[in-house]
Amino acid sequence: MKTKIAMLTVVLTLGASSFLWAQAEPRAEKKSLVFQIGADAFGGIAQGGIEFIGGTNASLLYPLTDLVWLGLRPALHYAYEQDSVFEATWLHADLAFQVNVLNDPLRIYLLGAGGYAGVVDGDLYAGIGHGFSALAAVGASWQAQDAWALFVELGFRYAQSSKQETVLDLNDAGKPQCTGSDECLAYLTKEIDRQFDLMVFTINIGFEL
Amino acid sequence: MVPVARLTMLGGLVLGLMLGAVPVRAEEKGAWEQYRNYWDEMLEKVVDLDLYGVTAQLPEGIFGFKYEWNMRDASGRFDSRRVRTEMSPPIAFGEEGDEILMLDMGVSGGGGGVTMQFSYGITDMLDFYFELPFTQATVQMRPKMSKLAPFGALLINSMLPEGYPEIDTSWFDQDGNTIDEHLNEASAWLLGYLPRLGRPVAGDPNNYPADLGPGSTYRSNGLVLADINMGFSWNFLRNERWSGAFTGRVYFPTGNIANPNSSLTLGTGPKIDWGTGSFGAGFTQGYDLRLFKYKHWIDVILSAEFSAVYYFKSHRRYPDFPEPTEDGNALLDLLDPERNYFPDMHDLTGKNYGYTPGLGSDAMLTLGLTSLIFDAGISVGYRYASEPELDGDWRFVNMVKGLELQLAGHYEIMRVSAGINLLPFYVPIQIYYQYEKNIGGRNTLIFEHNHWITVKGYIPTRF
Repeated sequence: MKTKIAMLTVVLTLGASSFLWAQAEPRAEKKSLVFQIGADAFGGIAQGGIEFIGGTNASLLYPLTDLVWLGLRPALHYAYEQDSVFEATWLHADLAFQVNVLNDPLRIYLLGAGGYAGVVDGDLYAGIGHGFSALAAVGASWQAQDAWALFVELGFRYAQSSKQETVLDLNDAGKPQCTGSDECLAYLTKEIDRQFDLMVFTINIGFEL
Repeated sequence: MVPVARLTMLGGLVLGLMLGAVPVRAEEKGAWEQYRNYWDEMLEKVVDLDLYGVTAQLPEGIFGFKYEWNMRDASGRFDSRRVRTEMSPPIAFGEEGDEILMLDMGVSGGGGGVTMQFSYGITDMLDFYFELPFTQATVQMRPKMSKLAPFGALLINSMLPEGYPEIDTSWFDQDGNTIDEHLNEASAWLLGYLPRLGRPVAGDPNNYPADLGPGSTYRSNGLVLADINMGFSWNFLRNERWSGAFTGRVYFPTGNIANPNSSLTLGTGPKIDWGTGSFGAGFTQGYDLRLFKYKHWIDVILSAEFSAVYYFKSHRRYPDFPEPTEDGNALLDLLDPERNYFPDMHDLTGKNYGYTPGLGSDAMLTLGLTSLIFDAGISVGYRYASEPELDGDWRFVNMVKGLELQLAGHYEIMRVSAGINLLPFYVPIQIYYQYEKNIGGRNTLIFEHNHWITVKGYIPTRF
C-alpha cells in the first residue's frame, strides 16, 4: 500500500500540473491571484528511521503589494518507514505569506507558512490526530512563458500532532492484564496520547500561474 | 456536487448577465462597481463557455463552498433476499422453528451529517476540491433474549459455578418464549453471562433504563469527522449537446474506527465506524445530454454519473476476547460444538488483522429541468459495496461472516430535488432541498426520512 499511496500522490500532482500546463492562459490576464502547485520531498532529522516523505502542495496567494503576498497553502505529505507501523499521512491547512526580495529577472521570495496539521495512520490506528505545523523556506520563480512559471523552494518544516487512544494495559511481559483476580472476563485498558512529530528539510518544485 | 446545483448555474449567471447589462452610471465607483463589473465579465464568459449539467466546472478564479446538511433514520435492513428485516439479524441456536436460544441484537438508531466542500476553478476546465464530511448518530444496542428452551435454562443453571445468579425459569413461558415483563431481567442475565462464553460486552448489564432494557447507547455528542476526500475534476469535452467530465479523488482514513469492544460491525456494541479506516482512490465519470434548450433560459438535461472507489488494506485491532470459563465451555460443547458463533479467541487479544474494504461503485441517472431561478430534478441510483476482505485468524473471520454484518451489498434509491438560485440578484448563493428514498437493496441498511438541505456559494478571487 505504501508504494500505491506514494504513486498516487505523484500521479495526482503530475496530472494536475500537466492540465495546468496545457490549459494555462497568458499570465498577463491574471490580475490578482497567483496559484502554485508543487511536489515536494523531504529528508528528516530525528525521524526515527523514516525513509521517505513526499507529497504535494498548492498555494493561493493574493499579492497585497509587489513585496508581500498572502494566502492559503494546503499540503499533503506521506511518510514512509519500512518495518514499522508508523506510516503516516499529514494534512496541512496553512496560512502563508511570501516576501519578494527580487522580482526581475527571477522572483526570489521568502516563504513562511503555518497552521493546522492533521495526521492519519493507515496501519492500526485509523482516525486523525490534531496539531500544528510551521514552514520556513526560500524560493525562486522563473517566468518560463507568459502563461506560467517554474518555482523551486528550499525550506524546513516542523509539525506536531497527537491522538488519544484506548489500548490494552499490558504487563511487563507484554501480556494483557485481567480486571478480576478469580476469572478473566475483561482486561485492563488505558488511555494513551500518541504523538507524531515531523522535523524535515524540504525541496519543493512546481508550477505557478 | 448536487446535480441540480450545477444545472442551475448557467441559468442564474445568464439572468445575472441581463441584469448586469444595465449600463453602470459613470459616477459609480468602488467595491460595488468592481463587484458588478466582475460578475458582468464573468457572466459573459460563462455564456461563451455554455456551461450546463453536472459536468460543469467552476470558471477560473472562482472559489466555491458548499454546506450540506442531512438527517435520516435507520429503520431496518434489506437481507440477502432483498427482504426488509430488522437492522441486525437475530442469532439463533438450534433448529429453525425449534430454537434453544434466540437473541435479538436490538439495534436501532438515526443520525445525520454535515458535509463541507471547498472548491476552486484552477482553469475553466479544471477544478480542485476538498471535502470535509461530518456525521452524527445515536445508536442503541439493547440485546433481547427472546427465547430460551426450558431444558436450556435447566442445563445452564446446572453448569453455573456456585454463587453465580441462576436463570429464573419463571421469566419464560412453557415454550421458552420470554415473558414481556421479564424480558429485561432475562436479557440482563444473558449479557452478564456472555463474557463467560468468551465474548466482550459493552455496557453494564446491571444498570440500565427500564424502558430500553440492558445494553448500551452510543451518542456521537455532536458532529464527528468522517473520511476526508479531495481531488481534481476535469471537463474534458463540451459542446452544445454533450458534455463529459472526469473526477479523480483520494480518500483519507480520518474517520475513527469504533473501539472493537463496542463495534456495531463486529456485533460487540453500538459504536459505528466513522470511516473506512483505509486510504482509497476513486473516480467519477459524468456525462450530460442536453435534450432541450430554449435560448439561455431553459434547459432539460439528462445526466449520468458513474463512480468507483477502491479502499486499500489497513489493519484493525481484534476485540479483547476473554477466555471462556469452564462452565461456559461446557455449555458451548452442547449448544455450539463447532464454535461457529463462540470460538475461543482470547489468544487474539491485543493483536490485529488485515482489513480491505475493497470496491464501491455507484451510478446515478438524473433528469433535470433548469430555468433561470428555479430548477428541479429526479434521479434514480444504484450503489454497490463489495464484501470487505479480512486477513486474520479463521475463527474471527468465521464469526464475522456468521454475523452477516459485513457482506457485499447494494441498494437502489430514488431522489427528488428542487432549488432556488440567488445569483441573478448578484447574490452568488444557491439553496437546494433533496429527498432520498431506498427502493430496494440487498444486505444494506434502510434509511427513512432522508432529507438534505444544501447551500452553495461562490466567491470571486480575481477582479
